[in-house]
Amino acid sequence: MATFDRRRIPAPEISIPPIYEPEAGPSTKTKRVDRSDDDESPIFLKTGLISQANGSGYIEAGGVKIACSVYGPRPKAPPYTPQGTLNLEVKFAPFASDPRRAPLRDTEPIHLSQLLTQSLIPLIKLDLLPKSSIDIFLLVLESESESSVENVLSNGLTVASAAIADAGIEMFGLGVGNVITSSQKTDNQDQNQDQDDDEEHKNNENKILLGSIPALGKITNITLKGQFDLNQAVDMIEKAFSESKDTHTILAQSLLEGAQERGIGAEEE
Amino acid sequence: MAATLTAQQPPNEASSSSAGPSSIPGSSAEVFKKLHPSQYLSRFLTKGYRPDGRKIKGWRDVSINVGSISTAHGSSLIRMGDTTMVCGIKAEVSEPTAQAPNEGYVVPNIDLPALCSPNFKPGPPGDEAQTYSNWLNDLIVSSSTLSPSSLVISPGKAVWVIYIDVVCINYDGNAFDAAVLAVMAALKNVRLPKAKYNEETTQTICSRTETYPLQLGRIALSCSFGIFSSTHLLPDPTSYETPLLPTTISIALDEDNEACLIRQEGLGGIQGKSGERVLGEAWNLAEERITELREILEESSL
Repeated sequence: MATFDRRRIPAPEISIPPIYEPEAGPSTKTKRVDRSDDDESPIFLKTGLISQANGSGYIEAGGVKIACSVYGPRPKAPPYTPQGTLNLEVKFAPFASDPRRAPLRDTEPIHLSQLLTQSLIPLIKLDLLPKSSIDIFLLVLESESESSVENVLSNGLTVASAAIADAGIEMFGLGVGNVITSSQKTDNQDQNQDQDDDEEHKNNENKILLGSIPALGKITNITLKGQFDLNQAVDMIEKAFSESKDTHTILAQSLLEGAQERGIGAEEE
Repeated sequence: MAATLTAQQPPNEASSSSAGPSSIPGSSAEVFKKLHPSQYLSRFLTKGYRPDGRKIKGWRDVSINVGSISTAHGSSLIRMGDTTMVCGIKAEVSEPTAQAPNEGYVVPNIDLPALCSPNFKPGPPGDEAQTYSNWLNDLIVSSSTLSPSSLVISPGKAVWVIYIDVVCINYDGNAFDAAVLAVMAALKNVRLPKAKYNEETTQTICSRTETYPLQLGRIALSCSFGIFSSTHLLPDPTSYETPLLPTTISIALDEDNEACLIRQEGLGGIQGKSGERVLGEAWNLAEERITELREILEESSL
């Protein structure tokens, strides 16, 4: 880097992540054993942990840990806008992945922020919020392997809509993200909601990331990666959509628990 | 219907208040708190309490959790009241400088992202984060918590760079104390792989199985105070109290209660007390608190 960063404690110009000796025995990382192929990955989701924010959420699923906070709706600086503005920023903690993500050199979050914004805009009733902005911040604390971009995106979408709902901002429905991977090698439809280690990534080439509003039966975003037959792709989308309903249940449940913990809506029970 | 669950709150409520979801808009105490923060605080103090329910000289509860981040060589998550900090330590290999062939690098940074408080903006570290990063660097270097000379793999050829990154998740005041505690807990949690420098390939190869902990020197812990309207010395200020405290004092002590860092900012002291007495009072409180913190720190690293 030619420019000197005066805002941070200086680091050496070049440092490389540790190189490990080759493994002696055959790779111990093979197939996961903690759940079967058809099982969805367990999700831990909790709302309301960040007391300073209007709404917040924390998710742990598929080797990803993300904290999300929502500020707003808050007044926006001029010019006047008839609709609310959605600002979203994804940030990786420097220690979140291997190798370390040095601040400034990490350009991936920009692209992820744009994709997530696109998936969230259809959810929020922005037309009800003139002259205001909603600021959503996601902080990825851990994302196990380099290629788990889809996991960051799908869980980011789920946790962001949890946080927006926690902030009491009106939405058309709760958005959830799901990832389906199918193995090309064996050609059997191997429904994994996510990958846990690198070995699995190498075998699993086809990926679908589906953003949806299960309560309305609507899809907000599809991202495909790999080579698909049309039928296979449709199959996988359907699979992802049916799994999204389960994710939705978890999301709704955690919102309910979060609200009850703070005594909101208790009298309705 | 789960999707409409949160719509029970009227939407204009959220737009009129910028406080957390727990605030009850319209209640007169809440309005008074917003409009006259200084009087609000002083009324609590005359009764002997702080707005968050603790005694005037009370500290907030602390919990430490280590090793929860698998992508880091060492990590910790600490909560001090509502203030939450995550510290992750990652080691990388680099060449030492020509001036100091027998020294590795220690790179501590504190980030206060826009996520943790409504007062911070996204983008590069703000003034507060930069200040704390420098304090932390001073503390680690000056009290030789982690000496650069213990990080050599092969003199002049390869050394460890220890990146200490602290990220705030929830900012409810007193970030520096929380960050120092997080760093110390994470440093104790670090396990570095055994590394060998190969002269022929000029590569450093690390063992997959053998690891060792860092050689740590003095473990300093910090305690901060604020002085309210030249009358009250308040330990462990929250984010609500901080803007009302023009004078702040930070004291960091090591295992033998020797000072590693003392810092006072602002002109005000306490009326009728000499600066020496105020500082002595703060020191005594800090000594007590740091003993407690040290116990929690020891328990967490077991």
